[in-house]
Amino acid sequence: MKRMLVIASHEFRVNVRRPAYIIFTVAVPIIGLVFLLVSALLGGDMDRIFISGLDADSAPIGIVDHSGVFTPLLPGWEEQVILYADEQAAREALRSERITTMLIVSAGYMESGEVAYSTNESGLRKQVALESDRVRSLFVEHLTRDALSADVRERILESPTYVELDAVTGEPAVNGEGDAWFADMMVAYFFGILLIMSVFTASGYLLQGVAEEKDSRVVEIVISSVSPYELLTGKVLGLGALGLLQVVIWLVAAYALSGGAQGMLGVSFSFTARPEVMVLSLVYFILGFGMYAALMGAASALGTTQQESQKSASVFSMIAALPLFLASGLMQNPNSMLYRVLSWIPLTAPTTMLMRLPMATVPTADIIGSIVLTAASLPLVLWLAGEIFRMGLLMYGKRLTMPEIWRALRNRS
Amino acid sequence: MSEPALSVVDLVKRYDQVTAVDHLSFSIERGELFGLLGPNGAGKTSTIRALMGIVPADEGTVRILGDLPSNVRGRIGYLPEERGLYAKQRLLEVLVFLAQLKGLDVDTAHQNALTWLERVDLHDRAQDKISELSRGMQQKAQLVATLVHDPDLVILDEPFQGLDPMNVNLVKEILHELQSRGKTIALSSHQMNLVEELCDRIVLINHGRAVLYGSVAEIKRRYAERTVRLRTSVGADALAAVLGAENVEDRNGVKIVHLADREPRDLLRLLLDADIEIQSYEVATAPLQDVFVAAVRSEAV
Repeated sequence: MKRMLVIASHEFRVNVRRPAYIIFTVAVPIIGLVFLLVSALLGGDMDRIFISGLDADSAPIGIVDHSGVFTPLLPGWEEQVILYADEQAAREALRSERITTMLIVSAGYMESGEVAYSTNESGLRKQVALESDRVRSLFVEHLTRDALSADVRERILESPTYVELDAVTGEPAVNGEGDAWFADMMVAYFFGILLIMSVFTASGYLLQGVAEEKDSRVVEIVISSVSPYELLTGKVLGLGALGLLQVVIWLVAAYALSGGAQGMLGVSFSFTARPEVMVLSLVYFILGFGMYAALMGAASALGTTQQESQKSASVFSMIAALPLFLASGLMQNPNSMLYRVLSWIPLTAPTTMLMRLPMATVPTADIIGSIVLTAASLPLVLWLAGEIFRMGLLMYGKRLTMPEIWRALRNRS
Repeated sequence: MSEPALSVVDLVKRYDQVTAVDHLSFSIERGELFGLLGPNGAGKTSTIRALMGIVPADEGTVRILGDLPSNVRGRIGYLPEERGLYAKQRLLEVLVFLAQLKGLDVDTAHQNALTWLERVDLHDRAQDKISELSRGMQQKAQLVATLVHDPDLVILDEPFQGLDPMNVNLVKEILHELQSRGKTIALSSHQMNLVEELCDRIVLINHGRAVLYGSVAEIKRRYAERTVRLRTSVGADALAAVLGAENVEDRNGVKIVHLADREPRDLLRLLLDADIEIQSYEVATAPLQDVFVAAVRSEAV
């Protein structure tokens, strides 16, 4: 036990000074802070800042109106729309960049709905230029000019202001306020990814450390002083503490920043308002780290070089990172069947849950199920990893093959 | 008398189909400097690993300092043949860590490490990273790592490898110091002259079995070619007349006399009786090198 702690504290001390670790740990809160400050400077509309890069600028739109819908322009549009008598003149304006987009509304527009256009914009901005709220308003207002009252027109143009009530209680749900849903989603999403990255980096250190010990042969001396099991457990504890320190720093920073976001922007992030997300994140972090670190330990002892070890480890990393690859679906519905299933498989449970938790209210069954199954399989994984670790540790020239491992494990049990 | 520092009885270690150690038995007395010899691939490293408990033995018993190896890990110092230290970490820090793994508290570990660094002349490099040390320095640092926790039994696998003559002497001095402090040392080396010079007793392992086992002097005597090197002014013919022509050989002026079934003292008496002038009379012993080669060769047949 004492030796295990010596190893744990040594691992912690050696790795905590890694520049990569320090930079990663400090950079995340700083980036968050910078983001917050920039958002505040830009007026506090978080969604706007996310999408602003895509928004077409407010240069006037040129219209060649053969249909008569836009002639004359309604009051208030003179600044934003310039009517051209013919295509020639509009194209000239487009070329001289007085306008960025020109629309040619055909005489048969009311029947066909067809509008030809040319634009200086490209890529996504091209779509935004045509489908922006401004263009939509322009069409709706002019098409309905005398038929509708101003407030009816407004209801048509703007989607309802939704207020979510909890499905069960009927109380107002804790949620991102108003327009901040997009920012809220993104922040939650990245937060989950960060925790997963922390799991991967800390267990990556374990892999690297063992490979180095094997490579430099210092493992011969170490293993003459402690048992392989003590060595592996000590390393898992030390590096686990390292990852935990990082995550706690981030959690504290997340709280501080979300406080700042509320104060400066009037935006609240839903997941920071749910303390259980924080607590459960820590639980899944610990479970996830225990799981991957043990597997990394086994993988690290398997290879004869660091590259080889990394190759063996990549099998586990791929499985563990599966939820990350499926993230686009997760953003659409964090409680869909796929993610519920992944939450119940011990190897993918921690990563899946770390992503789901901040994004949505996860069914209690999933939380209990994933924790129980993962926690129950952890001792088995640790034992298995310990055995493979022991076998692989003193093999330099040669890789352990699967049949060899299988035979040895059967002999042991 | 207390139990031997190390005793191995019928040790067997198999890897898949290969039997690396095959019913090996020997023991090392306390305070002894013992040689563990054998050609490459003879099973030395497997033996050492098995008796350290690094790999489990398949058969046989190993007792170290009167106890199971796993119970006395802290009292053993082991210098592996393939060795290295944490390249990116600082020398002193690594030594303290390794001493702590042997059960020392931080302060004692620190103190011991500094004392030893002083002894091997590395005290001014204590804060350097291992990778910044020269090869010879790293070798010394590894020896310090083996000794820093003041072990009672020291197992050194090729401790002279890669050392310059100055440092070979330094290591020899340290071994003598350890021995005078009552420590037991098991030494494995291919440098037979050093083994011959340092070791009291040896075991020669080949194909996982003990081929030779006993005191160095006795083994050398047993393997001597039974000849006498004689310097004399008398010619070979005159000697042949006394001893028989088939027993006398002239090698560059030195007469090599084969003892046949005579004992060296009988031969000497014979020569004196025949009034043969004698400048020097030396019973030949084979260097350990030759004994080693002969023993391994005879095994191969």
